[in-house]
Order: sequence, then C-alpha cells, then structure tokens
Amino acid sequence: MSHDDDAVRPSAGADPVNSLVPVMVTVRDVVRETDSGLIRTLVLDWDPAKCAHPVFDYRPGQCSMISRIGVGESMIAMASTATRRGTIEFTVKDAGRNTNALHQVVPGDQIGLRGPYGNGYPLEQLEGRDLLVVGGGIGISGLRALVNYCLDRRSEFGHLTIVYGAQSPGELCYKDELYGRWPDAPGVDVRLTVDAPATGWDGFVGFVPAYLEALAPQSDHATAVVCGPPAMIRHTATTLRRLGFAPGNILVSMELKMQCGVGRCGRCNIGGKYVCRDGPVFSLAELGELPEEY
Amino acid sequence: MDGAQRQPLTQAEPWPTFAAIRTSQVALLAEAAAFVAGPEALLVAPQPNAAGVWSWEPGVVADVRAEAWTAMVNTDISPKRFLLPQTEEIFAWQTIDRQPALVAPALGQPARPIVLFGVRPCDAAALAVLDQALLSGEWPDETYRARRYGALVITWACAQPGPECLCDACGLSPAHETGDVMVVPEPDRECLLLRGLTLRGRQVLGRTIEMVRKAPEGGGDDLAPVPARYAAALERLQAAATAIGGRVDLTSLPATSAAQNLALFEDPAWPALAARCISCGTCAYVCPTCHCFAVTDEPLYTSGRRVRTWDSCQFKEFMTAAGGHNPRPTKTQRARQRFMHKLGYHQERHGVLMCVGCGRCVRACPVGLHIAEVGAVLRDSLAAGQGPQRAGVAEEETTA
Repeated sequence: MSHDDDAVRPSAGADPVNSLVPVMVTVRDVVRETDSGLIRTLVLDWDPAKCAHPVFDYRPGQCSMISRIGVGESMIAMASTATRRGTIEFTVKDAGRNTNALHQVVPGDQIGLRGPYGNGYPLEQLEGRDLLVVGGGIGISGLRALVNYCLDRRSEFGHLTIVYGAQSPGELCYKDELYGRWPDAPGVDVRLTVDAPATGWDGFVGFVPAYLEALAPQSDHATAVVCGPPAMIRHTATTLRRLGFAPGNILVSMELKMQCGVGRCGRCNIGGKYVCRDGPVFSLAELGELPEEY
Repeated sequence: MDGAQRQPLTQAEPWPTFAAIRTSQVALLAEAAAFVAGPEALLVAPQPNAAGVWSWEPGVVADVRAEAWTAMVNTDISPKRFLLPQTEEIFAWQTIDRQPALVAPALGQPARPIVLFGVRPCDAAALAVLDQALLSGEWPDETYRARRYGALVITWACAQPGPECLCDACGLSPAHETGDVMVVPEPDRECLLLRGLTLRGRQVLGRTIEMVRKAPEGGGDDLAPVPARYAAALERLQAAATAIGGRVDLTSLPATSAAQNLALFEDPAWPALAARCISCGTCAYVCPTCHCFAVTDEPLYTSGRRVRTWDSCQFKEFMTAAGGHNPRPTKTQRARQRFMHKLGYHQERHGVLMCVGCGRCVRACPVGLHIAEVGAVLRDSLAAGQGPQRAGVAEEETTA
C-alpha cells in the first residue's frame, strides 16, 4: 500500500461472504454417461436467487468448484450453458477422492458449489466464425457447453464441426446429442473416433490427431477449440498447425490442480499466469509465452 | 489501555505529519497506536526469548522498550501470520437430516484490529506484496482484507542491517518508508523521529504528541525542528548498505516480461543452482511474502471443518492432480518455480519483486541456498549468452 491511499481503505469486515465458502445446491439427477460408469453427469437445481454469490450468467468454458462436503473440492467445467435455465450440469470423471464421492450422490443430496471461475471461451472473437470443436475423453464436457450455446444462438456462429474421440464406443459421453440433436441441427457435422476397433463400430479408428489429419478440415475463417488429456492436446495442436490454423486461432483449455479457483492458492501458477483466473482457455499463441509446466 | 479515558478523535483537527519523542517515551507511541486502531485492538510486538531469539508476541504497552529495536535484527518469523494465519477455518459443517449444513458464523464479522508495532521495513513492504497477491482481481481474499485494513503498521527503521539482510539488493533500504508510521531513531538514540505516512498514521502522531505533553517529563515541543532531523536521520540509515547489496541488484535482472521470464526459466544454470535443495519448504514458511495455501477437509464422523493452511510449492505433491499427473516432479523444477516467482513472475504481473530482502530464507535454509546468489548466477549466465535453451530438467531425477 502506498502512503497516499489512506482515504480508500474499505471498512473492516465489509465483505458479506468468504468466497471460499460454497453454496449448497440440490442434486436433481445423476446421468451415467459411459459403459464403464467412470463418467457421470450431475444435474443440479440452479436458482441464482438462492445463491449468495453474484453469479451465473456463466460463459461456456468457465469452471466451478464442486464439493462433497467433508471430502474435498474439484474444479470442473460447466457442461451446461446459461442459455438453458433451471439446472446446471457438471460431467465428472471418477479420478480421485472427491470425484469418487461425487459419483456416490443420489437425487436429493446436497453438494457444495462456488464459481463461476476463469475466462471461458472468447465468444466475441468466435462470433461469425466456423468452429472446429475437438474433444478427447472427458474433455468433451466444457466443449458441450460451447456447442449447445452456439446452437441456442445459431445465427451468431458459422459452421460447427465436432471431432470427438474416446477409448471405445461405450465411453463416448452425451450419446443423445452425438447421435441425434447435434447432427440433426443445421450446419453441424459430428465426427467420432475410437482408439481401438470394436464390435459394431463402423466409424474411424485411431486417435483424434490422426482423424483430424484424415478429415483435413478447412482452416479459413475457422477457429479450433480443443480440450482433452495433455498428450492429446499437444499432438492435436501440432496437427492443427500443419493444417494451417494460426496459433491465435487454436484455443485450448488447460487443466491443473486447483484448490482456491480464484488465483490465490498458487497451485496453478505457470509463469506470470494463474490458470484458474487467467485461463483455463488460452490460445496456442498465449501458451507459447509460458513455461511448459502443465 | 485505559478505556475510561478514551475520547473520540476529532476529524477536523489537522494531524501532524512529523513528530519527535524521547526514546524513553516509546510506550506512549504504542498506546496512541492502540487507541487509533480502536477498541479491542491487539498490540503485537517483537519479544525476545531466553535464547535471544525475537518473536512476534501479543504484548502490553508497558512491555514496549525502545532497546528492543536496536538490539534486534529482525524476528525469526515475519508478522504475516497475524494477517494470513497458518491455519484458518473456512467453514465448519454438521450433518442434519443426512445432508451437510455449513456453519460459518465468522463471516461478515470485522476482524479484531491489530497493531503491528515495530515492523522492520522489509516486512512492512511485504504487506504491500501480499496485498497485490491476495486482493487483486475479481475475488479478493475477504478474511485477509478484513485483518489487513484493521491493522496499523508501525515501521521501525533498522539501526544496523544483519548479516543475511539484502533489502538494498531488492530495491528497498534499511529505512524504506512504508506502513502507517515510520519510526527513525536519531544517531545518538536519544530521540525517535516519527513520520505519519497515512491518515491513521498521522492520527497516531497527533495522539502521541497529546500524551507526551501531559507526561511528567514533558517533551514534544522542545524537540523542533523535526522534519529536517527526520530527513537527515532517514537518509543516513537509508544509505547503510548490506553485505550483499553492493554486489547484487535483483531489481536489474531482466525479469519483467513474459519473454524475459521464459528466457530465465530456460537458463541452463537451474540444475546446478537447485542441486543442493532438499525440497523441505522451510523457505516458504519463514518468508513474509509467500502466500500459497492448501484447502483441506477435516471430517470427524458427522461433522467437521474445511481449513486453509500455508503450503509450499517445494513439496512434491503440491501440483499433483487426481490421476497422478505432476507438472513439476523434480526438485529442480520446484526450486526454479520458487525463485522465478520471487524474482520474475510476480514482477511481470504486479511490477515489483516478490522478495523484500529480509534474509530469513537465507538464514533458515539447511543447505545454504541464497536468493541473491541465485540472482547473480542467472545474471552472469544471461550475460555469458548461454541461454536460452531447454535445460532438460524433466529428465533429471530428484533425490527428494
């Protein structure tokens, strides 16, 4: 604090809430997304009026901390879009203690929620452009929010190409949308791939970057939006560069260990950035300025 | 202090910017500070233990002795913990009708005001760094802010820098002016020269002068001209150099932009610099600017609490995510993160170094890592044009 700002001290205790305290919300439904059961979508009742936090006109690509009280907290992307009110959805992979506990909830249970955090997708920049949406595994969840947002405001965006890969056909999430609502919508292509041949699968077999190479999507007037495991993101970015996408037109979502979600606990600090606060969405051009510690 | 004699401060009164008191009257300054901080104010000041180690302890005004701050280089731990406690409850919960109900009664209540009396300039400057880290952005730290803005900081210029001090290498000085009141002892130590740096600081001076005039031994009025004497004493102390300051200037390291920091990050010197580190994290716990924390649930059957506790980027599991992915698995990567954050990343984001040169990490490090030496090696390495190239630290394995 400088000498000169003595007039502007806020009075002690002016803040009504500690932003690390979650709001309790009720689980309306739990959807088992994949055959393995390792990925489930929690559908939560969402009434902004009941929430002390000044939230929720959230953007696609933003995240929230969701918590099984007494177990822990996890930063998870919203899988729903604020253009559809009433509920808010998180697709959760059973990967650790808290996510495992979140898989045990049943309708009527209460879980903790705070957010929304992070920058989300730069919708103003995406307006009018074609979108190449590239997802791997659980990475599809934040992208699903973007796709549904675009479909709800269809005239603001160009053609949507969705390229999505999972280990096997049974591990693909959001099957109703993949096989129905999305391909049925105007100006949308859905391209699916699985890692290994499977009975009854007549689509592409191979990793997402290989499929992209084969599809060779048009890079003019298009922005690629990528989310998936770190290795998938790296290879996909290389492929997209080869296909002619400029680094500024490749957007990736970063995933790091986070505990506060608001740029204070220091866990997701890379270079001069805090991924929770400055990200999680970065262009490849922005990532190039950061140490490779993710 | 005696609550019965409390009288409100009159806002209209012009508060003095400068004051002088006899060194023997220092307790009156403490009493005035506690008065201005408000009812229930907690006064904390450095106190020595039997071994001669100074620590921040809740004290009483009568215990305040001016000798304290000429005999002491600095406290073993910084006063950070009074504003950012090592462990802080975020909320408690209990199970009601099979669902957790959160209990957070402390929310919205003002923190008890605190007087940090006798803070060294480095530690006072560290509060400004914590402000940047914790109060900037969309979600400022509410509990820190409540304590921070209730706090009165009485800064005490250093009579003599200690052997590990390096404030001047960090762009500060033994008499860096910061906090609410700056206290500068005159060379003969007969008098303390005071400058109010904030409105509340000047209120403290006004109250002090009032009390000094009423004191049996008198004082105050016969001690003019104060501003010139203050300036002279300040200048003399500001010129005092530390052992390291003449050799290293950490502010001149090219570390203010993302590109410069990437070059420093990629410098090949890091594996050798970090070779001695044992990832113990002691540096973070004694540091006045380190602020990383962990959030942990502590359940006990049907109730429990969620706490935040100090943490360190030097611990191997700091960044380990569910599933096991760890972006910084080697000690070289973690040591580099600490020094890059102190010397580069914070500066890139907020414009100042995240090191204030208190020297505690130098003193406490069990293997003798020295932040100024790290800065000097990086400076020389850059000058020799060895970087940038990938240091290949990901392949080198840790002993930690």
